[in-house]
Amino acid sequence: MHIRGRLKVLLLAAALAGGCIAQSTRGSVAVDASAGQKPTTPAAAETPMPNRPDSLKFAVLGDFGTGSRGQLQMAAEMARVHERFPFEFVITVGDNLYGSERAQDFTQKFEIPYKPLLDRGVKFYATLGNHDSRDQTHYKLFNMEGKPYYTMKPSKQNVKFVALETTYLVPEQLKWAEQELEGSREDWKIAYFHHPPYSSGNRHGSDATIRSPLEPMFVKHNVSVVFTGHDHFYERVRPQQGIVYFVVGAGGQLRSGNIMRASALTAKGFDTDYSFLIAEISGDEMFFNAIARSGAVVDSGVITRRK
Amino acid sequence: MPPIFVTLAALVLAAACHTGRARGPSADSPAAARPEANSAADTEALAGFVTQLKGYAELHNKLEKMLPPVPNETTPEVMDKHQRALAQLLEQNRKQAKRGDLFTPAGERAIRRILDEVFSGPDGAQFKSTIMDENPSTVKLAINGRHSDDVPLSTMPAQLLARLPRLPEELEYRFIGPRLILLDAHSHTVADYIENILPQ
Repeated sequence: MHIRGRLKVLLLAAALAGGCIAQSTRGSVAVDASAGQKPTTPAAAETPMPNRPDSLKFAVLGDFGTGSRGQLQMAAEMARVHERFPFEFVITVGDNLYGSERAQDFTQKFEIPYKPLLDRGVKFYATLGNHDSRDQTHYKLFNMEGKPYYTMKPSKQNVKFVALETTYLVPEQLKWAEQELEGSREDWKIAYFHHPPYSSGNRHGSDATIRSPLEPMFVKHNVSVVFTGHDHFYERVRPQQGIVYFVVGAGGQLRSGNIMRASALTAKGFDTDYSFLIAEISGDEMFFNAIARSGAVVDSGVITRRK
Repeated sequence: MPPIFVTLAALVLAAACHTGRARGPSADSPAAARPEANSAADTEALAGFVTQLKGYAELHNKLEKMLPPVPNETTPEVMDKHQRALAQLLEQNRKQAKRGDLFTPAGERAIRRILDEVFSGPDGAQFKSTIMDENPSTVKLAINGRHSDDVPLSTMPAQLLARLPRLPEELEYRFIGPRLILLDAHSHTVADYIENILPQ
């Protein structure tokens, strides 16, 4: 368990101000350094996080493929952030395309919105949501290589990403995931998929049928962070059995006011605008900022990996 | 036989008959046709279902081989063209297909019993809630018909999939409303379905 000194100061200041939420459980800590309910400075106006040259930088995006103006604006903000924080890739937590999936849909709902990022060589590693056809696994720009579930190991830092397909958790997939995690020697194990095992969404909320087979596996094999979507807002869940769960489901869809205010799960929630998340892994720490369409940083903090 | 023994025997017989009626389902109740799941009859029925699935998979693969293969990394044009061409071939080669061809009547009964067990268990309500999440009930279904692009794929709980017979790679179990469908995942079409299988 470890809280960094700089954040301790912020934590103390925020606690004094009565606006801070901090949670810790065995093996993992997440600290809300934004320390307030209101969004803070536009992300593009500053260089976010440590932004170290040798760190692993990535973004998380979910529930985005609508082709709507909101998605385009959110995508434009992602491109602006990328100018100052050059994330190498984006992991998607599903619902990559809503509605029909003809060629023009891929163009309008994905290739046009994220063209600035794609042109700069940013790769997308997708997972499937309940709105996604299995065919998407063959789409070159989603880098799934025909597989609905797969692992990905970036060249920087010692991290393994495990991408799962939670609309169809067949026994083979669970067995595969267990083997992948068991055999992993990476410092960081990060899982990402569509359905949230924990969420304070009034519309969907925590999915116990997903949690039941996956959580014991994550706990056993030291998964540190889980990224999900499905509920159309941003939420950082209080650590559960040492694991930090995020809901990042407002990349192009928004369910305004959908986070249940009385939820005991919420460490930080944001449900009044579109959002995505950037993360930076450096050694044993993962820094993160959740960023709204306006560019406001709506949550930030640092997670120490489980050991 | 002494009269006392005759009377006792009659009482025991009457009690046994009464007990039988009280415990057993009436002939017209839904439970009447539901012996224990995983009985030998169900095992045989599910084996029949699996045989039908194999036949479907063979046809599917034969037809799919007539089309250019889809690379692991390709364009939406190639994916869409392949999906619709395969759907067309399946329709042409399954013109006579009707509901119940794959979910054979005996297989359907066995699957209903499995689902009854799953949904009447302690997590049954949660499973149903997961399945019915964003799952419209009013969609029309047709054998070989396209799974509507506007209808999300239902989420299938791992615990339910673990109980159902394993499908060939080409097919998936999904729900559309209260109906369990066999979805051809490559053509995005409905291969067969069972009506009203989710408990109310």
